[in-house]
Amino acid sequence: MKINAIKLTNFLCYSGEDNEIRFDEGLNLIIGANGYGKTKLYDAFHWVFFDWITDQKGNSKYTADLKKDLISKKALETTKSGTVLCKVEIEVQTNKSNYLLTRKYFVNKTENGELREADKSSIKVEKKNVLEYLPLKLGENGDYKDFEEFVNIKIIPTNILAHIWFQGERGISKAIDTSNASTLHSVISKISYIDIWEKYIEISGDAYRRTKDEFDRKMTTSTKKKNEYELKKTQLNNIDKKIQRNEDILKNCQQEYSLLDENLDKITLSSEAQDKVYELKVKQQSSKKDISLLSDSIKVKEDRIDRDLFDFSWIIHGTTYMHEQFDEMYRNYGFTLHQELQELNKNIRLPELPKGSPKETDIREMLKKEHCLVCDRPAPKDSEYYENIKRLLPINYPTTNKQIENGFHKKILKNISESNISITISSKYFQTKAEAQQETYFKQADKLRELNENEEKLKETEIQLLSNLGLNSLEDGIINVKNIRSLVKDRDKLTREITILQNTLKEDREEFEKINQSIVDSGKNEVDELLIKKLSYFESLHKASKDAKSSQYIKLVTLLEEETNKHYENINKNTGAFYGVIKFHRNPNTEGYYAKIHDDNDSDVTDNLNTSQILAMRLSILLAILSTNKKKNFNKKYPLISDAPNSAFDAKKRLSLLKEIGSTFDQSIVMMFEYLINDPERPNRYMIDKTALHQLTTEMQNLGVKINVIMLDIPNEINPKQMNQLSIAVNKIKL
Amino acid sequence: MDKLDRIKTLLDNPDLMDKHNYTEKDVEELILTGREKHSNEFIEFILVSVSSMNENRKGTNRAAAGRLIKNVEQMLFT
Repeated sequence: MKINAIKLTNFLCYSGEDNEIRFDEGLNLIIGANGYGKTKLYDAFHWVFFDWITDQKGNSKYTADLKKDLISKKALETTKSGTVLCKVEIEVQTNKSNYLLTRKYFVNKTENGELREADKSSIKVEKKNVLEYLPLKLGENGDYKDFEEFVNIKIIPTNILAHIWFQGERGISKAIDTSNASTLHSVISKISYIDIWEKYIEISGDAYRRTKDEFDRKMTTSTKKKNEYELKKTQLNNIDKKIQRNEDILKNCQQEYSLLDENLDKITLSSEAQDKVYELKVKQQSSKKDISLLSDSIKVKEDRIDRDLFDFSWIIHGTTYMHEQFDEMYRNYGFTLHQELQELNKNIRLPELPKGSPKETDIREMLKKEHCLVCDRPAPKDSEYYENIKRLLPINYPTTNKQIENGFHKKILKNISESNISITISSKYFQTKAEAQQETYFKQADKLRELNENEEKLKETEIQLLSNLGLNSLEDGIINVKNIRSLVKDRDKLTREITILQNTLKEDREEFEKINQSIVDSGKNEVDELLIKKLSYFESLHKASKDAKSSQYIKLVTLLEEETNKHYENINKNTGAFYGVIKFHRNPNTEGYYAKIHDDNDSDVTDNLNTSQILAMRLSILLAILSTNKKKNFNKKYPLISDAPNSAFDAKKRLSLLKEIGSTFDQSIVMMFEYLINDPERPNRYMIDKTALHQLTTEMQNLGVKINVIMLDIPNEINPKQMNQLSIAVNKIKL
Repeated sequence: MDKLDRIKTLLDNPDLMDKHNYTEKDVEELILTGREKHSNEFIEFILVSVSSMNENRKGTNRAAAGRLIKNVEQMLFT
């Protein structure tokens, strides 16, 4: 089957009729920026085939849920009144015929702008007859019971669609789930004809039961061993009931285990990441506690220092008071002294000099100069003249220094001395205390600064860790870790229950076989030998069928593992990064298999690998599911359609992936954001990255794979955010 | 997997070899075209059973089991 073209009319963001994309064999690369219609194009395929599209959470939304939302906003806006039709047409080519599949939906717009929505869409199938398409009848009298049957038989088996048409990482994860018996069966049945063993098991089991019934009837009618047989039969029935009950419980446990595993897989936080999240949270809590305690302590210290400062200010105040008192006393003392001196001086009568004597100052000047200023002649020291002048000086002057009263003076000095001692003691005590407190305070302040710096570092670590793990907050991470630990605990509990049940079942089955064999043995002389042989043979056939299915499963898983590793190596080998080997691990609890990546030492390193490597592993499994069985040849028969399969890949791995898809599938349609760069001439618009695209084209040509590139663009005049104006331009790129 | 492969897969079972007295060599040497009835009755039973179960007839597995019993009885009686 090949898809030749798709034409979209007023479907979602594709307004108008001019939206046709023609596909070739080989790789069809649809390039478009986010919001440029890639996913809507992917949705268009699903809408035509299944009448639903996928919402952002991966849920299917049917036409009945969406109604007018399926129609281009621009078409709804620009149509004044009347019918607004949305339509997607797909031209499909099979080995024998060409078909045109058309799905339509419409609303009627009244003149006052009211919308009347149709309840459902309609599908039309036309088959090409030489030149024109003629309608194909579906329904009771038609060629096919319904459209689903037509698609399943003529176009593509619906059970492989999930594996061959997928969107992003979520789609891939769903398609490759091999983690439990049921999903593994879904995968294995794609790569083998495992169903044939199930058919053998059922037929041989039925044949054995019917033969056993015949044997039982014969034994019941036997007179000799009737009682013995009935006793054993009762035992057998009881064990059988127990086995059936335990099988049901085991099945429930296994389903529960798969669900737990699925939930655990959704949380996707490696054990190392869990430890990091917890470690960081514990560090943050401890840091917060330390900061809080230290801040409280500093606050107390600051308060104490404030109190001490208050005390000190009182000391200072007291000292000032003392100084004031001293000054006042001193002033009083000076004033008293001055007054007493004045009083004293009043009472002193100085001797008068003889009339015409020079003043005392002149006399002293003359003595100093040793010269008589009266007669203007020298008067050297020790001479008669000098002595004569000296005699003129008054000789009995009273003293001018009055002695202060002793008691008054002593009292003041004593007061001052006592005050000074008191001040010195208080100051020293305060100084010692304040210094000790300051030292502690500064030490604690330094520690607080250190803790705050550490807190900042922890915040940086948190941002980094959240970014690496794709978490919104550390609290989310903690919730995830708690969920994981709780789920792991539940899973471990279930594992123990499953092991006990499996052991009990094994013992009971052995006991069942033993009693059963003893019944058959006891019937050897009672019933027809051929019946005994028939019973034994059917029992063996039933066992052989079950064993064959189990051994085939193991072989097929090994085959799937080998094919997966071929694709995995091709996607990774030129990237230069570590990629290891994929190994499938059997889980006895679910009877399914888990894919894991091993390093050179054969250690499971899956949890330590980045998203890109896990995605490469999943894509490789997906490609292997479709390519392992060379007879079924899904990869050659049907086109792969994928939207954004490579979001986590770098340029090298993206190139390898496209080469692998191109060389695995005869036709593939891949939508992606890459191979675009900003257009310098058109703001907020993109243009083809010619260098990167040239490299891809060359590599594809070297592989002999055709490549067809379509670019989805939004016309310059349209604002991509205005949904009611939006239209998409489909441009085929010349290579 | 063709019919002969399926038969060999069913017979390639140590427990059954022991129980029904046949060897790996017997399994390896098996051919389908132009053969006579096999000397080991269980191997012959498996050959008949696979042919019967492979019959492409419409109907349920229960009906197929009925046909299988009939074909095996026929084989054992002749």
